[in-house]
Amino acid sequence: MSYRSVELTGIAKTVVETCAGMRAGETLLLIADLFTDPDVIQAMATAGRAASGKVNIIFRHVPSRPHALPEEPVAMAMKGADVIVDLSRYDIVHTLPMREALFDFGARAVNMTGHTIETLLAPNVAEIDYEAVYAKACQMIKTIERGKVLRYSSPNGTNLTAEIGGRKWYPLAGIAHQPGTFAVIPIGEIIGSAVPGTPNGKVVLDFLALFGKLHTPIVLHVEKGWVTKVEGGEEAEKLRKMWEGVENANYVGELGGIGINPKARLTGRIDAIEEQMKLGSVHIGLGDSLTYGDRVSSKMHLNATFINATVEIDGKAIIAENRILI
Amino acid sequence: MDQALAEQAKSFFEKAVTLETARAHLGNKNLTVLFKVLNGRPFTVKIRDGGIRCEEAGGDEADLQLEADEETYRALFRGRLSPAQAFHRRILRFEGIPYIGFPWLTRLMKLIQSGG
Repeated sequence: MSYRSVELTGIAKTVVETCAGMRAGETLLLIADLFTDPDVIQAMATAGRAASGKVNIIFRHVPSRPHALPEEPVAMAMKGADVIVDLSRYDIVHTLPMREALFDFGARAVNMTGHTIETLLAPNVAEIDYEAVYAKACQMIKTIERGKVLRYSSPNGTNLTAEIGGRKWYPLAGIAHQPGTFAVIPIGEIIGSAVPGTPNGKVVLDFLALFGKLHTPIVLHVEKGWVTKVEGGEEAEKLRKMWEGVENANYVGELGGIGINPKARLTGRIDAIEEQMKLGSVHIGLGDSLTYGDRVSSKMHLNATFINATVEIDGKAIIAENRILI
Repeated sequence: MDQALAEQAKSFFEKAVTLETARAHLGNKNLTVLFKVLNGRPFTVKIRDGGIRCEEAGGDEADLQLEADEETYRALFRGRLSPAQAFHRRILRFEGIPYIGFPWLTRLMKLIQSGG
């Protein structure tokens, strides 16, 4: 037995009991693949059994690309589970089998794809009070949903405003206790969209999904909800090329991503996931908006992050200097 | 308004689904679902302590707002199409973030299946 496995036991227990709210007699399905560390599988299975759950483990064929459909045996197993924990390399959150498992069969899911032992033992996963972060997220959402105008600003020049009156926000903050809900590890963020056509201003990006940390900040000029101009260096040019021929790729489909994880770091990883969750970071989602309560559809959804953000609702700051102020 | 669809829904929700069954699926929660019909008039289904009512939409705040065409609703009510399939095919939409609506829709569909 290693010390790492002892530590893994702790995070596995948190995922099963706190995040998924697993109850005695429920069925837990662990999805793994060749890239999943056996110690992680063992820790999760042990936690599921300790919660008096019925533990099932299925090894998934590794697809050649992210977001590929799971094979039929995996899809079938998902429909029979109360709790699904995905430990494999590529996430399947937006696939039809996962939606069927969640929405038609009432499963709960925790997405832990792409993790290694190191990332699971990192402070942003292992040292978080999940219930406290979730409670804070819900409290912040109440403030946001009472507001009319949201404003983002940052020291590097971001200044974006949007109307939010009547819009609903959602805590993607690690708790999935209701049928049809899911959590993502690492947590956490508050997500929502603007009143269509109202985001205006400038966003200066520090990180971009698929790009990681930007060598030269990309400046997005936003008018009535659409990015109308992209400025910057080589990466800005690369972004413009990525958008060529992709319908609605330049739409501000997600206004937040407001990061609330107090232990998240700036890792520089290419997916920029931890950066998105970091308290003080904000990301806007460019492209598809249907998952965020808007109506513009696109084949692309690209998260674009800036750090050290100030978030104001109706002129009152709720996040500044990497601290929550409410 | 598509009277046939509204009548079918009214008949279904007010006769086939019992309050007892509704409570089994919804716990003690009240639920108001607004069904927006593309090219048609919206209707609501209200599940309250007093019973289940299906009526023309008023100004009440809904827990769940759905939007689809007649054909999609009929397929959902008859169990030929699941909520996940309809959402995935982008023929069923939610007002607001779908993550909020889906747990409610899941309960509602179980209710429909139990009464159908």
